Amino acid sequence: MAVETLASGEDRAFRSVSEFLYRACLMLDARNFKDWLDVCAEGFTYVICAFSPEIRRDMVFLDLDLEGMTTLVKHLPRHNTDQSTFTRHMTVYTAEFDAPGTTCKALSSVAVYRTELDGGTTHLFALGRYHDTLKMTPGGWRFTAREVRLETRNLGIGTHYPL
Amino acid sequence: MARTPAQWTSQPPVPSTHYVDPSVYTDPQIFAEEREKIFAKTWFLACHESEIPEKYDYRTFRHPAGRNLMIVRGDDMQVRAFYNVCPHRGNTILYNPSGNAKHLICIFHAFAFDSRGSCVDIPREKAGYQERLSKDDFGLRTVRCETGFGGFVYVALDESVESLSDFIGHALDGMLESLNMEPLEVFSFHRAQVDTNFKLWHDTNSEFYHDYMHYHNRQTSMLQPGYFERRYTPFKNGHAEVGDQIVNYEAYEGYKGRDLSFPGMKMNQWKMVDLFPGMTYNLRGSSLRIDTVMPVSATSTFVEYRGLGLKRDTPDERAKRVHDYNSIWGPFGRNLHEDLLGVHGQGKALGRGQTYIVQAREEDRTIHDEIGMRHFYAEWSARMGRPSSGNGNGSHGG
Repeated sequence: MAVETLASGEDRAFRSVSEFLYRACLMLDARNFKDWLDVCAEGFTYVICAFSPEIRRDMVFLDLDLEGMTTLVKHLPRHNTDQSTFTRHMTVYTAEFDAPGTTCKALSSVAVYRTELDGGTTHLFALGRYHDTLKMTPGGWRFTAREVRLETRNLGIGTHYPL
Repeated sequence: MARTPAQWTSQPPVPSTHYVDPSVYTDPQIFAEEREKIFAKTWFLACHESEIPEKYDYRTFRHPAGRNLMIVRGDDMQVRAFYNVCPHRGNTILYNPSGNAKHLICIFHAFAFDSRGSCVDIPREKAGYQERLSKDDFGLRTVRCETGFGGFVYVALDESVESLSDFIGHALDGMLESLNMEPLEVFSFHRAQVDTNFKLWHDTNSEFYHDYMHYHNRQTSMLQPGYFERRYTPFKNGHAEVGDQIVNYEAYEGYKGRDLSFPGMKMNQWKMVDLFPGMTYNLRGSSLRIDTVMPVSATSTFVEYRGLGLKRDTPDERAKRVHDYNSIWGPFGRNLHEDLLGVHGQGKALGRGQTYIVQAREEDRTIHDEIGMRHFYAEWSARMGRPSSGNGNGSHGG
């Protein structure tokens, strides 16, 4: 006989944040940047960074606010860009909520795979972690900040797309 | 009209200085010769002094001639270079790309070396070697090393090559004030691995005709006053300078508000110098970018990119320089990806049966003249003892 257990409030909150983050991941995979920007709150900041063991410093590769991200996305069709697809494999590790449960800091691992259009060869593009800050709004969770902290620093030919 | 196979592989109707045999970009034998005849006999930029600021700091460096080196700041603050190889059994001494170590100790048998390259400890030395060998027989292999032209550490594997200043000559004269007025500091370092020949990367840095590929450059430079007046100046040893321009970053939406420059530079001024055989000083407004090619094989290359600001930068100034640098030149920047996409495409296309690579644009040495590449290949041909245009018998195949 199957045993049903009621998820605790904490479990439900974690599931809610995880589901939001996974859906946002699917938007990025689909390059559906319009919907992705729609789940970014006013004041959103986006950073891609890494530590360099060569120069023993933290490095910031990309640092934009919501307006900057919107402009970046708008310019994409005007640039020559490698059109290989990116597919993210993401796992939400932790989600820490404030007392009312309306903001959250989530830590996820992410592996980004690049698949060539010609022949479909897939290789790992980058490995890293998402450090996300979220807030609950009437429309559901929204990003207030995303830091993509990369382990990978050899990014091959790079990309114009956000990770 | 489309061309027949014979026409495709025939020499272009221009002087042989104006095209390159495609095998120059793919032949493993030519690459092996390049390592010995070019890379082993020229100065090459290994790192920046800010990467090893303290005594006992070190930085490893894989020299494009195929040798593994380490750059070490000694107890006397002098910067020295050595083979990163233990003289005992040939093991790698330093594995991490950087660090600080009063003694450099080989993990294999615990031979220890000081920061000046002397062997200072051999475990059970007398028991094993008696009087036959001693620490004096196990010093590290020194490599010529000079620091200059903006605080960059250059190395030369060949003891007989000219001095660094003679090698660079006057190529960096137009940038020296900016490079030497204040100490610089590296704030960004990354590598890009591309399946392409190293010269194709340097070619891209040596011509601006490919600005048609760059939406950002078309908006901020090509469509702005002064662009078509930029003029190449070739220097001895295969180096070349591209004349400067004031860039209008505001012409690219979202790139307004740049308010930092470099010492000796006008606001948003852009200067660029290519050094043979694969280094580029690229000074754009608020930050300096340095490219160094690190060939792995004829068809595989790492390019190392360094971003530099001023050592005395306030946190706010540094953040602006980092932002400006990465918006164009970082791995997610608007320009670098396109340049890498270009040489990646060349790497995919090159191979047996490829046509000659044409470098025949002549525009009075101005920005779309391909003299920068022709000047490089004149030096390349002289050092290699073979014309870069090939032997004229279509040996690259058809």
